[in-house]
Amino acid sequence: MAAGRSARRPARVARALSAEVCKLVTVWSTPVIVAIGIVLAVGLGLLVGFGPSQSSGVLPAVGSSGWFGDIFSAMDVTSYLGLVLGIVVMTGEYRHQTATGLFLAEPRRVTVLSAKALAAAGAGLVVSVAVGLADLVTGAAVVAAGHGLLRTMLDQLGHVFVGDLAVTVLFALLGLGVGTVLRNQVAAIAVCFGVLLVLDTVVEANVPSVGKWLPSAAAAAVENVGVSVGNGATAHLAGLLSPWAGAVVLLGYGAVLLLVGAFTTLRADVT
Amino acid sequence: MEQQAEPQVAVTADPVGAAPAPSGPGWAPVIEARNLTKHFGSVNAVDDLSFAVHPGRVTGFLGPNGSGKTTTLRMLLGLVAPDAGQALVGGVPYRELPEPCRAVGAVLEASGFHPARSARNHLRVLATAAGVDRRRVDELLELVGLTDAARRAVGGYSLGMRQRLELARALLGDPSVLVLDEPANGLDPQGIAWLRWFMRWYAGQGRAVLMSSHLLAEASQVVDDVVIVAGGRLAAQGPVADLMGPAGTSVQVRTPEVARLAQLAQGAGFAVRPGADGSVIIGGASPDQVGRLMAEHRIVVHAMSTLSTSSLEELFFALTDPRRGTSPPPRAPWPGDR
Repeated sequence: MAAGRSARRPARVARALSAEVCKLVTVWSTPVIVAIGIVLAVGLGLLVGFGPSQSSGVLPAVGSSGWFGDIFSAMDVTSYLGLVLGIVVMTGEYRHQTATGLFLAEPRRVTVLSAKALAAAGAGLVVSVAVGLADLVTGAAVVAAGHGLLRTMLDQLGHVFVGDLAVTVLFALLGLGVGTVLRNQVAAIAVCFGVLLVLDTVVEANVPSVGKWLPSAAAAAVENVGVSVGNGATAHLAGLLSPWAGAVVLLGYGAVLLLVGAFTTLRADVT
Repeated sequence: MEQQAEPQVAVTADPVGAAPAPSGPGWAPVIEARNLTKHFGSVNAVDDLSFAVHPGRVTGFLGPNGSGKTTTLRMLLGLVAPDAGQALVGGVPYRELPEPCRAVGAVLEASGFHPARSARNHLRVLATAAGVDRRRVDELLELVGLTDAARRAVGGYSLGMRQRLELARALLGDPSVLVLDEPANGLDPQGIAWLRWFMRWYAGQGRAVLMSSHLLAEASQVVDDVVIVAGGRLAAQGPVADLMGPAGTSVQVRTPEVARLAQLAQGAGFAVRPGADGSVIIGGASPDQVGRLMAEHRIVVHAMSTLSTSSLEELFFALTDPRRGTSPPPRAPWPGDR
């Protein structure tokens, strides 16, 4: 019975990855998350560009480079959606008790975790690209309506998109790591947002030398990867790590959590 | 599920390409539990449990609630790590099987579904993970009678439909061994009859079926062998016919000299097995024969009773419940009882 050729590890990871992709595309929550990303990024962007703040004169002039940058900055909501996707990819198995069927089909748990890491990163990439395309269409419509130049719009979109794409993928891995350590989906999401939105903010405000190493500041550093020195965003560079250091820090958080999860949760009994 | 026609699913005798396995109790076991032990905190769920499952047989895995059946099955399937002992499928732990779904298919309690995913997509996901051709999904949905509901979200399925979907999942890899944990749960009488026929048909292909159940009457209609556990320990195992004893009667004795009596009874040619609560069951013997044996050897007797093990249920109670003899089960208190 045990005879016969088995698939090699890369092939096993590849088919486990295919199964993960199949899971993501066969439930309504995935397109809903992508749609939420598009609506929030485009809606908030247009609100910033044409809303009350604009008319108050606080923001850069309509059609300027900084103005486009502000519109596209709403794209960073995708990083939080990437985080949620990463959490759901792992915790969903325990929430719906599908872990049993999964580990019967593929009992090598490191193989499963590897496939989930690739799937989470891929999901983050897809969300980011979908939102980026929606912002491209929005930007083109804004230019067509006579606000700014196409070249200026594309330059700003490219800068914002590169940083956002990187953070979304890294946050998806971070979310997977948290979900691997905390099986409870609600708890994992609550902890993530509590740390990112509350703890990080408090530490950054009071102990900046420590705060810059926390996930929020590291993400902000990565988002600056495409920003040219000289525009309005350079002010944010002060006190932050370099984009590459920020990426390494975020990747490190995700890797440590995945490693802890691999030695704890993934080794635990599935009852 | 109603029709008992030959399945329209391609089922080979050995899906991994080896020759058809020889079947029967005399052949090498396909599942072996060797001194399995598992604790959950202070609870001793499974205690030094050893048994074997042979190809071509339907083996009933029987025991009262909380006797460690599910934990044992999960250890066999690599879902729960034993504290001691080994759980082997085809001679290796489940996690080391090259293609586990082609070796073992399992229907377990508490394995779940994403409520928003359709049955077809649920099976497609798992077929992909197991490296099984997706075309088999539709074949199996047809086999278990879910073709018409295949595109519906599983969240709206009845318990019986979910159980049939679980069976389809277990069969994805056309496995040599089926492990079924309370498979009749939620099935209607027709579904149960179909399942009983299916298990017999499956074992008839030279494959092994290991089925846990608390429905003894149901199990007695289908099993060839039984493994009976109580308190996480093995109470008895073997072919049902052998355990019943050739004369169909047994004598249960409670004595401080269990080991000596067992040795003497064996020497006299009787089948001996441990009973519940430290007793010994002497199979195929009359009370006169056992009484004479004990008198000749001056063995103290605390209690002796005759067990008419004419049914699997009686055998089960004799082995697992020290308070029960051959009397009917006590009625549970009803509302309004004084």
